[in-house]
Amino acid sequence: MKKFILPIVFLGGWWLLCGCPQKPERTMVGVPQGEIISDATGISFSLPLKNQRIISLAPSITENIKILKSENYLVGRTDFCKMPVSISSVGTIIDPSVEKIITLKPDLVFATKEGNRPQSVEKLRELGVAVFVFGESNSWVDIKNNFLLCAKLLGKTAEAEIVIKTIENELSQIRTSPDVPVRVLVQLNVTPLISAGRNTFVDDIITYAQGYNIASESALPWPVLSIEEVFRRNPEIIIISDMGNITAQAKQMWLDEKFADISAVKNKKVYVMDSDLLCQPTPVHFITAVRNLREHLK
Amino acid sequence: MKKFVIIGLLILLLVMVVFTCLGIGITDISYRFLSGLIDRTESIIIYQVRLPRILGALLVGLGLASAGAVLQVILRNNLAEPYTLGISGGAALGVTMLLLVSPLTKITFLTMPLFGFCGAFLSVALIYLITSRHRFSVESLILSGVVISFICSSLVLLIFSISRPTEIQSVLFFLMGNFSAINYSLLKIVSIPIIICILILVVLAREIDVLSLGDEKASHLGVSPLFLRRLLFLITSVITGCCVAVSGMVGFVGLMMPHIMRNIVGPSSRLLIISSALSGAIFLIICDTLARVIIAPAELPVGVITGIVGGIFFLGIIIYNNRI
Repeated sequence: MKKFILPIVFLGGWWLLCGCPQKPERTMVGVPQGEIISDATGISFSLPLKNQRIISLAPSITENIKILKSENYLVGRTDFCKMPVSISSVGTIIDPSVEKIITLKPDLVFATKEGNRPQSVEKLRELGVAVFVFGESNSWVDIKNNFLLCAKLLGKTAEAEIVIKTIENELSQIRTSPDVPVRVLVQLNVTPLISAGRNTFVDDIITYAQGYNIASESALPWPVLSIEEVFRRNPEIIIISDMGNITAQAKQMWLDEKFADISAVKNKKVYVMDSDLLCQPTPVHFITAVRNLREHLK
Repeated sequence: MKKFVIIGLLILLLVMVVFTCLGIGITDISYRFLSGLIDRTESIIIYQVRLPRILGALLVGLGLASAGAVLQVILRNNLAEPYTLGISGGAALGVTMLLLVSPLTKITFLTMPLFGFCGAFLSVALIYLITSRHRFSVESLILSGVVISFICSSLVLLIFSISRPTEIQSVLFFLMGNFSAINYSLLKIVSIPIIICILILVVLAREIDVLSLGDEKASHLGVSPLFLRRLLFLITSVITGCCVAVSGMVGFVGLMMPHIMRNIVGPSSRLLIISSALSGAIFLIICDTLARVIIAPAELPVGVITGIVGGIFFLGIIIYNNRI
């Protein structure tokens, strides 16, 4: 009999542990009045939402919040968001700490479909946290829509529309300048050489700046580009996304004598661009990137 | 006589594959390079882009398949391959360490291979120390190899989970195996140890045959099993370490080729090592060419191709061959 006691106690304890915390009802924050909007995972939210304490799980969303001057609502961020340390971090983008998020008692958590794992979102929702998931940012239109959506949730639609209007004015001005597209290679990694395919906002940056993305033939969003393709397309401009220490390696790579005949290398048109502009899709980053690239293309 | 015919055929096939694959790619050069009628860009593509990759695949194919052939004999296990002994785990950890130290070092094209090789070297040293307490017995080699692999892969995942997603990419591609970063200076450095080690294996083939009879019989026949196993372990480790430094983890070549060749040429070690090496090179060159062109202009990691093509082919052999 004795030998059964331990397993029974263990099983009982396990059962208690698993059974005890009642699975909380999925609470929809906010009063059901006015507009209903659904996020990228198909969950409906009715406006206005309670939004006094916000946690952002994506650097691009944090940037959007900064553009909308709503940092004072922010109580949590990831390790990779550029924010003062006074706002505590909840960990990495891929694996944020659920415990830390819960202790911060957020009204609303912002996540993105491309950056955050669905498991993290699901876990938080099970625990009764309202998580709004933004859709992918594969183009200027996506970036704009996500920004406007973010503004709507923060109650800053009017401000956001002004921002977008200014940027769209500038974009249309840049676009009208009649030029033959310049062949551009955007380099996001060295070994292997990763670029941006046609269904990405980086491709849109190049197109708006009157360039032609030499990786746009690839249907993959972030293809490992064959070196042969670089020779075949002969880019006139190479933009290296600043990858900290690896940037030096990227510059070194193009100095190899086999690349000497590549137009961009021959004419010394290899530039470094702040990686935030190419990795964090926000309206301000987008227009800054277009502006920078346009300068180089002239 | 049959021996020379088989080896001759394999060499002929290898030469043909090298020239065929040189002509295949997204740029339409086809076989004009044979007549020399190509412009400067085309000659760069052939001699600076395609040729080093093909030579790299050749070297790694030779190395992994011959090391696999020898390890299957000395570990008396048909599932043994160059990565069984924890070398790949160590190399992966070495390269992943790069993520931690990258702010401190100046990264060049040799950094990643160097870290990979050092990681492989450390894991080999560790396994050597552990197994030397057990007279290099087969069981202790396999067990410690598997355990070290497990520990290393856990540490790799640990480092991944605390790193910036964009930084992981390079390491991930290394782990999947690819030849895109290859250049002549790297090839020069690793080709010498790989070729010398393969030659030593070929010279030692008779002793390996004797060892396969079992430790007791080997001692009676004047071969010291302890010494020989230790030596072979170190030689195959050098080969694998160099291969991993060139290409990352390219799986299946070291497992599959010795298997297939044993069915064709029989168990004689010398012939088995040579034929496995040659067929490994042929297989890997073909796989790398596929990796270059399947989703052009993008590229696939070659380890993925060897895994899929090799795996399906191997399954076919298992299903239709009654001798296995």
